[in-house]
Amino acid sequence: MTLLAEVVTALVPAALALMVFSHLYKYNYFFKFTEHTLVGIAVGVEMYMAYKSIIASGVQPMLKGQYIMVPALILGFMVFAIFFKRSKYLASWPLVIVVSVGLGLSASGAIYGQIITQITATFLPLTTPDLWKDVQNLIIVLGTVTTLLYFTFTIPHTGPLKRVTRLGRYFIMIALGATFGGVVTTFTTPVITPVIWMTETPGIYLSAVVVLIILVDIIRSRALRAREQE
Amino acid sequence: MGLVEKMIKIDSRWLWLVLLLAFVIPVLNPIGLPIRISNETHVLYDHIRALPEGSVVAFDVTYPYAYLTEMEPAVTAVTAHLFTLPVKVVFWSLTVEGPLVTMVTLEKVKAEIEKYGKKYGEDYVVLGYVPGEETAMAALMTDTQHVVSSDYFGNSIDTLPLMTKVRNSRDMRFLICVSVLQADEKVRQYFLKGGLTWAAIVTTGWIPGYRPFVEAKQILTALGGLRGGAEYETLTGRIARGAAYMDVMSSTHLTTVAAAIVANILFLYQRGRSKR
Repeated sequence: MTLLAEVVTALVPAALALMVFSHLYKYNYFFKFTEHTLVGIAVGVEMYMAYKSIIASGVQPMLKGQYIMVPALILGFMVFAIFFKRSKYLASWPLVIVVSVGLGLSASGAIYGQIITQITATFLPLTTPDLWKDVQNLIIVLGTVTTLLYFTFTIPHTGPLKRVTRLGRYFIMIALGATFGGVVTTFTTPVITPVIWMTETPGIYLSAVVVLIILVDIIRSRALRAREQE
Repeated sequence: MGLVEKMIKIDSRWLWLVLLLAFVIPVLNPIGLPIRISNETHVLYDHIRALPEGSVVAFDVTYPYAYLTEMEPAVTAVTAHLFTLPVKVVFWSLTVEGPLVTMVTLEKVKAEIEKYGKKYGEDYVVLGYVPGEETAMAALMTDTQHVVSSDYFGNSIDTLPLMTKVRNSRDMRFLICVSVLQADEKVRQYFLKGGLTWAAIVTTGWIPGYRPFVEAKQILTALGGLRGGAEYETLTGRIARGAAYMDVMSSTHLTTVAAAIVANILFLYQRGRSKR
């Protein structure tokens, strides 16, 4: 790769990252450009991959003699009937099949996997040789019971039940807090790579130019505001 | 206007600037904070190390490109570890971007592939994107060979020696699932239907959602995003991006926590004053 190609390859992601972050200062055309580029590329990639997968998992096996794929492909094409008023109803047939198969698959495992096993996992011993384990188990049992009671609306939350349900509310708040903390972590991590692009050579030069433009814009808008006030 | 009022009415762009500095400073001057390895990471490491020779490990790499920084270090560290062992790996993805991020990882473990003489088709296979989500999971567990007719590179499945041995989940020893979504359907298909022992590599935000399944022993363990990657890198001694990025994570988290504390103090102060 030539030096120029290397510089351009390093500059493009840095420039795009800067264009995206410029939104934090002000909505602008550079941000709009990256927004549209991202959507365009994403749609293009999705369409190509979908096409590739239909060829690989539907058309190729059919050509090899797996004629079971023929009704599947016909059903797939029936989805496009949604674009025509007269034949619109045909599009619901493949959707019915997709939804029913999905429901059947998930329902069969949901009762045992997500309800029975999860309930049994909360039946924990509270007197084990390990005191720390007892404390942990007690928290799990208390958290489960009080949270479930919090969502019991058939009886009024008064008297001693009020205190118990309040404890349940605290457990919910702690759980939501932990989830929120994790979500913050998850969404701050993707920023690291663009920041590296922006701070490494040659991206740093672009960043310097952007900072300069922003500074000029701040000074200009302040001057404009002062003139308007006068 | 007093200091408190000024802080309450501060332009949010100043906060963005502070947060940006929290990102930039550790990137320019790495601190090198020590990384404590959690039990969850130890469990995955020990399980992989104890896999018998010739075991087939299924690797479901299903995460979008936007999460590359969060997920890639852990995925690469685990893949590199698998390639140092005498085991076979079958990669598949349930999102269209999955094969692309799988290729990023395979590019990064090129050294291990060459060093340990791993051959494509014999030691590892990339099936690529398998559409259908939960339906695809069920199909992969019951009839792996016929879910796709060709791999990601367009080779016919019949021509790949490894795939002639992997008919269904019974031929797999272990499964690693990389996901940015809930565990429910994976538990239903990989654990209940497939009967597989499986571990998850998920975003840090999903760790509280996966914990109940780990406690119920429906998942062996769950590694949390970048942090999990940094821990796994430390365990294997193959220090890469995960460990390097932990400084940035620490500084941004401290900034976020500090901002949350200050905002809460200001809120309580304002509420107290309006009550008075």
